[in-house]
This record gives sequence, structure tokens and C-alpha cells, in this order.
Amino acid sequence: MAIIQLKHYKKLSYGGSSKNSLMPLPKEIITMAETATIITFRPLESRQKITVLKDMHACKRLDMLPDTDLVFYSVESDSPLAPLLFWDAVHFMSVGRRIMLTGDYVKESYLLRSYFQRSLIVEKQDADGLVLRKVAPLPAEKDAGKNAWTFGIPVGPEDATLLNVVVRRILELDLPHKEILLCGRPGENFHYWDQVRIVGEDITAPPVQICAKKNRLAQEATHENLCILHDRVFLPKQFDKAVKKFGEFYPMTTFQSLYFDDRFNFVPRRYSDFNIAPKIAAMSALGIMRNNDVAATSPVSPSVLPLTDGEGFYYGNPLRYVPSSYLTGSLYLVKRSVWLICPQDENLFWTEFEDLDHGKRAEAMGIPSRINPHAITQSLIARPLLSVHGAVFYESRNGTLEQYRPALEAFPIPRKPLMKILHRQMQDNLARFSSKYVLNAVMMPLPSSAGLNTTLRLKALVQATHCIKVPIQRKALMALIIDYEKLLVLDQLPYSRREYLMMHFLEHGNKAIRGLVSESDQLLNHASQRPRKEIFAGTLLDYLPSVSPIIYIGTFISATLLILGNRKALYFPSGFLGCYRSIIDTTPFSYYAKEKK
Amino acid sequence: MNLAVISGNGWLHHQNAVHALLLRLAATKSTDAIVLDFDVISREVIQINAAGNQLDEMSTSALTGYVPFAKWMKDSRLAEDVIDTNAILSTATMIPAENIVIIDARNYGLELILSALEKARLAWYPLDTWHPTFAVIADDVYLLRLLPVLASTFYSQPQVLSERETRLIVKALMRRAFIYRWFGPRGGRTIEAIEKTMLSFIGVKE
Repeated sequence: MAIIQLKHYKKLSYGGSSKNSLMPLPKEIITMAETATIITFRPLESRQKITVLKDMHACKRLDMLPDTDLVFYSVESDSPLAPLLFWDAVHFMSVGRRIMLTGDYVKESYLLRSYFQRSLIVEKQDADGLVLRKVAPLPAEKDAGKNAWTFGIPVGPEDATLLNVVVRRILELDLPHKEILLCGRPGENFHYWDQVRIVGEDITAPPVQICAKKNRLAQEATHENLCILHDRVFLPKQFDKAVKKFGEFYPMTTFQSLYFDDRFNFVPRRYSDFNIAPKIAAMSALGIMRNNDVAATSPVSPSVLPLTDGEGFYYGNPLRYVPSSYLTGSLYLVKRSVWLICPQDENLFWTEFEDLDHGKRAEAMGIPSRINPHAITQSLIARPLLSVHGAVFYESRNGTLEQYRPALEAFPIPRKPLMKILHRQMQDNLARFSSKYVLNAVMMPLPSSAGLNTTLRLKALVQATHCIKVPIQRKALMALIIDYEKLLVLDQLPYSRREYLMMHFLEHGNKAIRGLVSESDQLLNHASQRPRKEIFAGTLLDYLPSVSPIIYIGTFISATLLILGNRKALYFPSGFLGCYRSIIDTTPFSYYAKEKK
Repeated sequence: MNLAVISGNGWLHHQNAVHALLLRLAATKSTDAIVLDFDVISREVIQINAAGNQLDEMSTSALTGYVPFAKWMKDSRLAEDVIDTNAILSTATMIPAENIVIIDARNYGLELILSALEKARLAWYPLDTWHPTFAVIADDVYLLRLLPVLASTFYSQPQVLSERETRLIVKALMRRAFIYRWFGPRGGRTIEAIEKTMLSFIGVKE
């Protein structure tokens, strides 16, 4: 038997394990080492042979514990990483073994949450601690060690160019058993009809019922290892190695994600992987979900979304763990059984913080969200809303809020399109908006060049919005703002902004028109990201870079800057080379759009 | 909903003619704001007399949305803060949706009428169906000053910008975009704050 002392990775500022930082391990606990393995952050008063596990952080797994009974001394009180450590310990522990938690000052132990209830039974619970016995395997242990994966993608009926890229990459993955499920019928130009199974065609849209689609994918999956991804997520070539390296019994897991805003990999942005929302738990304004269940009030119910919006969401740090961590829905690596215990709430639709709600409920059940750092994904497209002037806010290693902005963000490097909208679609949208709202008497001819550059686009938008006539009536204003968002801005407006515009119209009437363009943060964001051209796509192939020597130079510079600079917004355990390789392996080159024979 | 400002003098002498005009206006289902001054009403009187038309019962029932402005006042005194918001809200909901709303604000000051209209915007805002016409009877001297305000009380009206105005709006936005592009969200906000402070220091208003 052994005593294992854990030490936090120093740069996390989580607190040390020396005698200056923590009280020593009590003698009566040390005596327990004869029959069990003691795990603690506490130092020992006397010299004794112990195992020290240094540099503990959220990406490190506690999978090397001996097969004995376990005693965790004051781990929940001493470390924010406790939920992850408990998760690993109880999953890697054999059935029949006991786990004792003692020395803690917590109201209710993490291991008493509902996820663990059927497998861990309470043998003793008093002021001294809690003793649990593992009587059955936990849900995440089902089919452990079986290398078979189901990849589930919720899709819509639009152009399948980018979906082809995503599916071709999955087909390339070196996995002995894999299955690809699409929830919904893709566009006619989809190449791989015979290699996928289509489910959930009965799920209607709009609104996009993304939760219903993801739940259906989990229900229909054949394999226990489930990877639910959006049709813009380009998986790493070394997917198999990365998941094996991370180990079995993973909870809700994802890879870090990048989006290169330019065509040569010079401008890496962190894009939609793993967030934290620390203030949501304390939110006092709650609403009722669409099923009108008054017992399940929530801070993400549709009626309070403008308030939820203002609470602040930041990218999480892969090395830290906070209870408000959640995966942003782009990619889930999760066991099917775990998903089915905690499915997404079908009362919520896309962009209604369904991912946040899911993460929050999972955490409350005892299923943490974490990062597998051994690979990254790249997003094929990006919504401008998620990068404010090219920057994102994230939790740094030491827990402060920092801004991450690529070093070459402002430089005039050829860019990918800002929005997944074609030039002619933009022109059609502008015409539809004008015909619906602009008074005939003041209607000006729409410039056919409005989508060509930012100045012309803004000019057309100023003219269109200043000429509208709209009743200051709730229903009509709601319709106007939805059309303004979908037909003019072409980017999602934050819920708080929608609410602000409605109230501005109500209070100031005509003057509110100014808020639509000249005071629009969204359009300012578009203009700062694309001051000249490259706002709209000619074709969706514009998002896929071609193979060229410059792309390798760009990747080299990006990898260097990601490792050395940029305040460590991302974590690459294998250093510069690992980072460089990960980026090259996940670059969605244009040949991926062609059919793989 | 079309909007009308009615001459108090015309209403006093030729109510039937005003009714006839309002009914015709309501039937157009336009969203215009118009003025029914004494001349318009007088001409309507002549037309009615020439044709010998009378308002039928069906038509007069649409005119039951008459509300004396005094009902929108707390205790009918002309003083500050006497607008009764609850009374305005109940006017909006109590008058059947197919009826014409006529607010008789004769002998009341313009300021008072304008502040009542602001409350009226709030009262009509949540209604899914608006009344066909909203008319305000006011003293003749206020008609032209009341009309544009009434027009923009219930509708956000179009504004025709000159080429120069449009260009200036776009230029200002592009200038801000340039700052944010080079300095990011934090730097951009700092620079904008410094600029504002400097401008207010030298007395330039935005």
C-alpha cells in the first residue's frame, strides 16, 4: 500500500502542497496506508517513503492508482481538480473496492451525485468522512477497451461541400470499427451516401432542433464510444492515438479547436471548444422552459436569454477545472451510456445556450467536462460573433481573465470569407429586406456591388435601414429585428442586443434606427475583421486552403507563436513539434472536398 | 393604423363630416398621418350636403372609440405629472380593435398632449392588432406641430439621408473599425475613451 501526494502544477496558482501551504497529513490517516492507498495534497510531517505526482492539472489523469481501497484525504477542500480526480479514481477502481473520503469541509461530496449512485453505495457517512463501496461498473465503463466509434453529425439540407470534407476525414481515420450517422438529410451534392446511415429525418426545422438531433444520434449509435460533431469540425488525423493516449472512461470530453482566419495558417483563432460561465450559477433571474415545468426553472430558459447573455462566457483553460465548465457543443467525445443518462434538453433550440444548460446539468449529476489535449480540431467556418475584433476572452493558467488575439490578426494577409453566405445570397437578402420594410416612395435602387467590399456594404445597409417604416408594435419589431439579423447583418445578434433594440425603438422611436448600423457592434466587428474585401464567399471552397509552401511557413509561425506567445490560451503537451504537426494534420485542404474513391 | 390630427373647430361644428372622413380613411388601411383641418372638414360638409349622404348605423358603431382627454388625466387639472398611464393602457385594450380611436384633446396644452402620446406608444406596443385609425382632436393652432409627433409616435418613419450624411456615417464606422482592428477590443475601447475625454475637454460634443 502507498501514500500518494499530489502537487498542483505551479502555474495554476492553485496552492502548494508544502507545510507552509497545507496542514500535514494526520497520523491516523498515515496508519491507514497499511491497508489502503492514501491520496492527498497534504505534506507529511515525518520522513516516509511516498509517491509524489507532480504538476497535476485538468489534462492529467489519475489512472495509475494501485488496485486497492482508496482513501482521499481532504482532496475536495484542497483542490479544485477534485471532481476530475474522483472521476478517474472511481472508474479505474475495481468493483468491490472501497473509497473513503475524509478530512473535507464540503457540504455534500461530489461522489454522492446521481451519476455515481447506482454503482457506489454508501457504507458509512458521518462527521469523520464518507465510505463508499463500488458494487457495479459505472456507466462510462461500458464496453471499455473496445476501439469502435460512432460519429454522429447533425446536418441540414443545405450545400454539402463542407460536410463532404468532414466525412472524408472521418473515413480516413485509422479505426477498426466505425459508423457515421447523419441526423437529417444533407444537400444533394453529398458524396458518401453509401457510407453513412441517415436518421432523424422526422425532426423538423426551423427552428433548428439541435438537441433533439444530438439525442437521436446517441439513441441510434451502435458503438459505445460516441463522437458527436458539427458539420464544420475537421477531426485530427491522429484521432485514434489521441483518444488512446487520454485513456478510457472519459467524461464529457472535447479537443481544443482552432480556426485559421486566413488562407495560409498565419492567423490562428481559438474557436468554440470549451467555455466557462462562472456567473450563471448565481443568476437570480430564472425562467420556465418550453414544457412549462415550474419545478425545473432555469437561467437558460428562452424567456430570460437576454439576461443570461449578459452574464459573460469565456473560453476555459484546458489545465484548470471550474464547475461552470462546459463543452460548446461543436464536438463531444462521450460514452453513449453517459449521454443517455444526461441528454440535451429538447426544450432548447440552437443558439439558446443548450450547450451551457447541458454542461451545467451534467456537472450537477457528477459528469465533468474536460479537454483531451493530445489532438486539436480545426473549424471549417467561423461565426464572426464568436471572435470580437479577432479576439477572444479566456481564463488564463492562473485563473485571470485574459484577451487572446493572434499576433498577426491586423496584418493584410489573404483571408477566408467572413460569413458562410454567397455574394448573390447577400444581394437577394438585401432586396428582400428592402421590399418588406422600405417605403416605395423613398426606395433607392440597390447597388449590385453591395457585397463587394465593406464600405459599399455599410453604405447599402445605412440606406436600407434609414428608409424603413415600421410600426412600434411588439410583434412587428420582433419580425424586423429577426429580419435585420438574418437578412442584413447575417450574423447572430446576442439576445441582449435584440432586447436593447426593441426597447430603444419603444423609447426613442425614429432615433433607434441609428442603432441598426452606426451603433451596431456586430457590423463594427465585421468591418474591423474585413475592412476591405472577403466578406462573403464566392463558393464554399473559399474556406479550404490549397496546398502550398506558404501554408507550411504560416503553420510554422503560428505554432511558434502559440507555444511561445499568446499567453498560453491553448495547451500542447508535446511542445512545438506536436503543435506544428497538429495544425498541419487538421488543415482542411481543398482536395478534401473532392470525392474519395 | 392610420393617424389623424383633427381641427377642434371643425369637430365642434361638423362632427358628422369628421366621422365620414375618418370612416373613409379607416377603409384605406393606410399607415399615413394626415391632418383634417377646418378647410378639409368644410369641403366634406359640402360634399355630404350635395350627395345627401347620412351615416348608417353600422358606420357609426365604428366610431365608439371616442375618449375625452380628461379621462387620460388623473383629476382633470392642468399640472405636471397628471397623465394617468393606467387610463391610457385601458383605452388601448378596452376599445374594440375594429373601432376608430378619437382622443378629444381640445383646450389642452401641446406639451401635455405630447407626453400623453409617449404613454400611448407604450400602451399600443403590446397589442397584436391595432385599431384602424388613431385620431387626436386638438386646438387648430397646434395641428401642424402635433402631426409629425403623432406620425412618429406609432411608427418609426423613414429618414432620407443625403449622400454626404451616408458617407459620414460609413466613414465614422470605418474609422472605429480601423482602431479596433489594430488595437483589439481592449485597446480599441481605451483609445475611444481617451478620444471622448479629449473631445469633452475641448468642449466638442459628439
